[in-house]
Order: sequence, then C-alpha cells, then structure tokens
Amino acid sequence: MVFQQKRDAEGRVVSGLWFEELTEGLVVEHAIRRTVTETDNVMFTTMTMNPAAAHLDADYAKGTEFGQVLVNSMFTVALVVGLSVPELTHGTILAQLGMDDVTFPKPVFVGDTIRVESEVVSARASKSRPTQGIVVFEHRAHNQRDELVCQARRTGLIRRAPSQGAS
Amino acid sequence: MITTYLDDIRVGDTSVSRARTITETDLVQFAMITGDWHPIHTDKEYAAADPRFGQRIAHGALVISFGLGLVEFWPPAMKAFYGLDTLRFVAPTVIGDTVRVETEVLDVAARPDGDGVVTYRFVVLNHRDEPRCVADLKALVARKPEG
Repeated sequence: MVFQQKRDAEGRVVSGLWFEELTEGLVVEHAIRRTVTETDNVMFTTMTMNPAAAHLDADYAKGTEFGQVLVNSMFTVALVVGLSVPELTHGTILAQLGMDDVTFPKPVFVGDTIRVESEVVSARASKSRPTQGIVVFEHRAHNQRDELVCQARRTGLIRRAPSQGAS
Repeated sequence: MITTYLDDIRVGDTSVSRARTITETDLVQFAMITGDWHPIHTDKEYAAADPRFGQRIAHGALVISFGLGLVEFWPPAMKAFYGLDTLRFVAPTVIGDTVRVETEVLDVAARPDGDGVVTYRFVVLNHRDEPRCVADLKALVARKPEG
C-alpha cells in the first residue's frame, strides 16, 4: 500500500498549503519545536560577522540586565521562518517577497525552546501571475514559558494547487 | 593594533582588543576544521581525569587564532602577517574564558622598498587578566601613499 501524499504538478511531494488553502484568518500551529543551543548562537553570529559582545562575550553579558548571553535575534527570526515551513510553505512557495513589523518583545536565551504558530493575514490573487497568489502571514514565536519572543509579518508568492493530478 | 600607516607607528604604542568568550562550540568546530581531535580538547571524561587540567582546554592554535581575529588589522596598512616568534602558551585557556588581546610595539624597522616590519608584543589574556598566550608578532606594514 502506498501512502497517498500531496504532490505538485511535477509529482514532487509537498507538505505546504496551496494558495487556495491559505484563507484569511487560518491559524496553523507548527509541529516542530527547537531548543536554541549555544552552538546555534555562536555559529550564526560568527557566520554573519557580528562581533557584538551581547552574543559572544559571556563575561560582558553577566553584567547586563539580562545576566547572560543574548541569542542573536536575526537567528531567531530565521528559525521562526524555518519552523513554519513544513506545514505552511514546503513545496508551495515560489519566493519570499518581504517581511514587515518584525519585533522581539522578549529576549531569547541559550536553552530556550521555541514554538511557532502562523496566521494568514491576507491572501490575494496575483495580477501578473495567474498560477500564483500573494499571501501575508503573521508568524508568532513563543518560548517554553509562553512568552512571545518574536512576531513578524511575511509576504510570500504562493503557488495555486495544480489543475490536475493528485491534489 | 594596526590602525595607521607605518609613518604613525611608534615604539611603545599599545592597543587593547575587543573580547570574546571561548565556548564549547568553538572547541568542537576547531577540532572539526583542523582535524586535531586530541582528547584533552574533545573528551570530557579524559580531560576530567587529567591531573594537570581537570577539564577540556582550548587548542593552543585556537587561542592564537582567536587572538589574531580579535585585533584590528586595518587593510590599507596591513600588508602581510610576517610571523610569530617565541610563541608560548603560558597557561591553559578553558571553556568559558573571555579572551582579549593587548599589544605593544617593540620595534619598527623600515625597509628599502618603503614598507616596514613592525614587531609587537602580542598577549592573549583571559577575563581575570591572566596571560594565556604570549608571542612576538611581526607584520609587514605599508607606508602612507604619496600625495
């Protein structure tokens, strides 16, 4: 028996949602959570050439109001998008068009576990691309204490469902 | 450290770098990149049983490399890393140490081609101001361009 999976027009397995499925107000809770590690912060920070003491200098961080190293928030926002991919856009997004209103209401520390939910803020057909639509998501990320640590609006160019073949 | 052309460098000039904390990530990645997997750097149990150190220590090469990354080498003046003399790891650097570099110009030697070799006392210290790595560093430094 073959498990029937969702596929695109070329037969590739997809797990995201098509434009038609992304209706305004839809909320998706993402299954994969992730504990942020020291490795994540050190690698991301050094990879992006950010020498800020807040991310790399534990002795300095001890003396700040946080008392410990802050995880680089640019990593946080990248993680938030990444965690949203499996149920939302895997195989169904053509391109990310932009981000707006990115905020970090609470800090992320090494050892925090992040979960993400996404809401469809708006969805409209593309005027120039008949097989695609433009969808605005709001991603919301919480830590294990249920504190909101990152919120972002993100616009994607999303494929419509293939006209024939398996949905 | 090298922030000006040769013309403005004097014996006795000093500098202090920014700082960075040595993490477990750094040791693991350094072992991966270099292939130096000696257990004193990568095996917690082996290192705990070592009577001298009692814990994992950073590779000496990591410490000097981090030191080189912490100091400023202003590209227009810094022409070449010429070498290190009497490099000594005077005490181990461990995970959690925050290191910085302090330098002092020991010698400025002009060359006929217009550039010069500057010798620096190069000291990597931890956050308790304890020297961990000491060396004399030589750099080829450019003279101020004409005009």
